[in-house]
Amino acid sequence: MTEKPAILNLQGKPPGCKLLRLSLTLTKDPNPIIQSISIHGDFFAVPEEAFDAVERELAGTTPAQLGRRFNALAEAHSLQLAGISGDGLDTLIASEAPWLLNPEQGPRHAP
Amino acid sequence: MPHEFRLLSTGFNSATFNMGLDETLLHKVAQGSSLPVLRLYGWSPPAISLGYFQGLEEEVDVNACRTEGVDIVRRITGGGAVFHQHELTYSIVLPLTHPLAESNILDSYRTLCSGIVAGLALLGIEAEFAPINDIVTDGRKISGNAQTRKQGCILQHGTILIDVDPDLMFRLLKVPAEKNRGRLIADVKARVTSLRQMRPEYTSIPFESLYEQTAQAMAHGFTEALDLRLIPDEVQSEELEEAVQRAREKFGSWAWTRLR
Repeated sequence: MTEKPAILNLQGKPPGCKLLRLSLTLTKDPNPIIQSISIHGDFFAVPEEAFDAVERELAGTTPAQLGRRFNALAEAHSLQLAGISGDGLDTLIASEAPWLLNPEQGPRHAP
Repeated sequence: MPHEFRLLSTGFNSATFNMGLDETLLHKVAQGSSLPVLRLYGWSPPAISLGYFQGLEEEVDVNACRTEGVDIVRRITGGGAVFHQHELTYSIVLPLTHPLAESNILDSYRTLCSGIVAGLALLGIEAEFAPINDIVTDGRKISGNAQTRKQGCILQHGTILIDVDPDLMFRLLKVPAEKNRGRLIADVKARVTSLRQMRPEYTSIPFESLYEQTAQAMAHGFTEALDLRLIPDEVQSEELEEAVQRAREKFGSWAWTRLR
């Protein structure tokens, strides 16, 4: 039987960023993969439609790779960003869901 | 040589019409059928505008807005949720090839916001640009701005707060927990200000008069800061028709409002 994915909602204002709200759908593996991600918040990204494409293309990334992959995709799509960055996404995960970066430690609270 | 811009003063209209007209003007400037534009406007009824990347249900209490008679509209620009009531809103549209268009968005905010800083000075308020997109006076925010780039053009719009009601604002916006409402209201009162708060003598001036005074100051401010020659104009019938259509089909659609 296929396990349902876990959905994790995080929010925060990492240094140099506006308010960010992440909704991650993760595989329930020992080393989870991001099945899908939605990134909401008060930030700016131009062109806006290219940001939608970046969100879709982040599927398949690991939480540890999220920031680097986000930056690479933003550059590939010629996005101009203000109030959001790959570093900011990494910081948010590290502060709000550190177990995603060290899966062996397990979650403090079940998602 | 000054840069020629149309000046449109379009009065008080609904949220969907305001956003429909901003997008129409972007389209017209992109087509080359309009000069660059500076538009000054207000909102009736009051409204919450959401940034493009914000989630509707996360940010807005839809039922409270309905109860209070406050409209909701999603902008095509990013940024945060804005409560539009006692304020002047401006929009400025220009091609990316225009001498005033900076290629870097952060630089562009600084350049275009200089018009508001100059306008506030004419109202007796010393203010400064605060990156990314704010204007502050005495360390408190008096103007927020949002920019997008589409069809080879820049559209930037923003607000100049004439008065602010944080209590009403937080009845309309979602707060993480009810217990935080009082703290959030106190936080906004500490971080946000308005013309009337900065200049108490404006309190006795009716809002409509203060709006006109602010509009004139902003027109002069943009003229001075950006070396503009403003040509007062009216919205053309074709533009009005397109704005109404965009308001109805896009900005008034639940699909667009609930995009995120």
